[in-house]
Amino acid sequence: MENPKFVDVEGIRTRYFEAGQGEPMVLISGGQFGSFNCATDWDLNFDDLAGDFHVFAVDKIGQGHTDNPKDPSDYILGTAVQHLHDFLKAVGLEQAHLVGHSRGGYAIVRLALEHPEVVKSLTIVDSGSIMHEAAPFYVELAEKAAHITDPREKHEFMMVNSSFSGTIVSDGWLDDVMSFVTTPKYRIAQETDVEMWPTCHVDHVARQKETKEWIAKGGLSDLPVLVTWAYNDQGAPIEECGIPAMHLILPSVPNSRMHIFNQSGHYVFREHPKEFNATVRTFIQGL
Amino acid sequence: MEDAKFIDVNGTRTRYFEAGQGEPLLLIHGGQFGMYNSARDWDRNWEDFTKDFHVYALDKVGQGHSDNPARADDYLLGTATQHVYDFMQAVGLEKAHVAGHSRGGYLVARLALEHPEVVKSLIMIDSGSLMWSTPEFYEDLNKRAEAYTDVREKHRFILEGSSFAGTIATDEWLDDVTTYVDAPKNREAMATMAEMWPTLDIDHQKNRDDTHDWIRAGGLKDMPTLVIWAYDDQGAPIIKNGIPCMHLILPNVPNSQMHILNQSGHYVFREHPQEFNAVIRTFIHGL
Repeated sequence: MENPKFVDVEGIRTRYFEAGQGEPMVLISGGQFGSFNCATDWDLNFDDLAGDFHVFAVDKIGQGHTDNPKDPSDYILGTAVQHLHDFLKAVGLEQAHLVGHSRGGYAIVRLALEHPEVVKSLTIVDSGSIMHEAAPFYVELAEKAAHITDPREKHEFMMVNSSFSGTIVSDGWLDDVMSFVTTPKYRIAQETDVEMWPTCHVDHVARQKETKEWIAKGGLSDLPVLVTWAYNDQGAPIEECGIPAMHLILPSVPNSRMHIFNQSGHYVFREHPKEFNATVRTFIQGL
Repeated sequence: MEDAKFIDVNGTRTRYFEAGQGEPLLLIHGGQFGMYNSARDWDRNWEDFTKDFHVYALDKVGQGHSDNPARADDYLLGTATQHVYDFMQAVGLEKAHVAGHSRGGYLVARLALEHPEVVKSLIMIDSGSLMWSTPEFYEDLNKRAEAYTDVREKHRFILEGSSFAGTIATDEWLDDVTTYVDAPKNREAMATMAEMWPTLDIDHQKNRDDTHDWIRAGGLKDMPTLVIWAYDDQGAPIIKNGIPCMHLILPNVPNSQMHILNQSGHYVFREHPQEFNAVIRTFIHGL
């Protein structure tokens, strides 16, 4: 996963990666404004997927090396959805297979709701944010990490503790995270996100309800959908989120299926990259 | 699925099919003594599998065109497990990937318990009998099937009644069923089964509980295992059987995973042969 590119997306300078040939696929990370997640979350998957697909991975607005939203009132999840849509246009992608992790899974479902014409298929990965309102696990994890002053150690700690095996941190990922988490842009995104959190949260809860109702009424009925979950996800537990997501999607989406990976925390594509890629490849190539 | 072969398995004349080259894959159908299930249950998967695997499918003892158990006291599920083991010896199959459906899924788990050295990987498909019995659905289905006097139409009704879409009974399957289901051998198996049912059921419950204890104690910890379930299985419902099966297998089998196919009843490999085969292929090729 090398040679990041930058594109202007409606005034937002946006970092992305692009490689390979074949069916277009866009990988969307989790997190939100000022979270450490970004396109390089997929660094253990990207090159292998590029062997079969024309793969893109993008830093969402206000994450990684992509500009922050222009106004504090834009710190709501819908801004990231619109940015994704505008990004697809900016790079000339008319339609793509979308793979979204966590809040990125929620984002691609909203993209299918708001702009169905750009979506070829959805792969929803451990997206607790589609199902529940808050994940105390991450608040607790941040508290546990609070005493670590070295940013590199701190982010390694948070990633390791989101995993099952503790072996999901790569130097490439950590180097990349270090390249932005100490920048003023990142600090502004974090501070604004904290300030705007109540607004963002109320908005998310309302739209989450709307999204679930839309799915239950057949909103996704014409789209191929793969739901994947990690059996040992602590932030989006299988019982609380995974099984309910299955019962939300499978009855309402004829061309859908669910795959459950074992011995994995939230970042299943980092913990079992080969198995994850094979599952996504089988899904898309079977369409 | 052509050119049935016959082989003597410790005195039990056994019908089987064999084709293709590659990793050995043994398919074990469901049902028990005197039931209509046979190797032919896999007719929609067979040709495609032969492109990648050295595939075997046999009629279990007392089903299809295989002989009945020698004595009434042998009408126990363990007899079918031993027969599969002896079959592998008879055809010179030292070790195979074994895929079992329904009671065949319970069988392959027992095969791994009793003869782990012959199992390369384990694939269990909608195996209600590995979990809890839910006889109501089949009792009701069989009662409704009594309205049919024509054997072919009766079995078409039973198979389609177990499906989601009602499109899984092929002529090839129905033709084969009519060659044995009303023959004296099968009538005898049904009569003996009815007589021995209480003994079989008590024995099964005990062995099933022992199997669960063995799995929880790590009996399958070195075995790559794939659990497959159909979301709309009525005889082995996902909530009552599939999810508990996930919670039995995944925590106790490190190299395991679960795949849930949508819009399918009990015979998921007949209802979605292409997707089913792709999932199996991805699993085995990923080992």
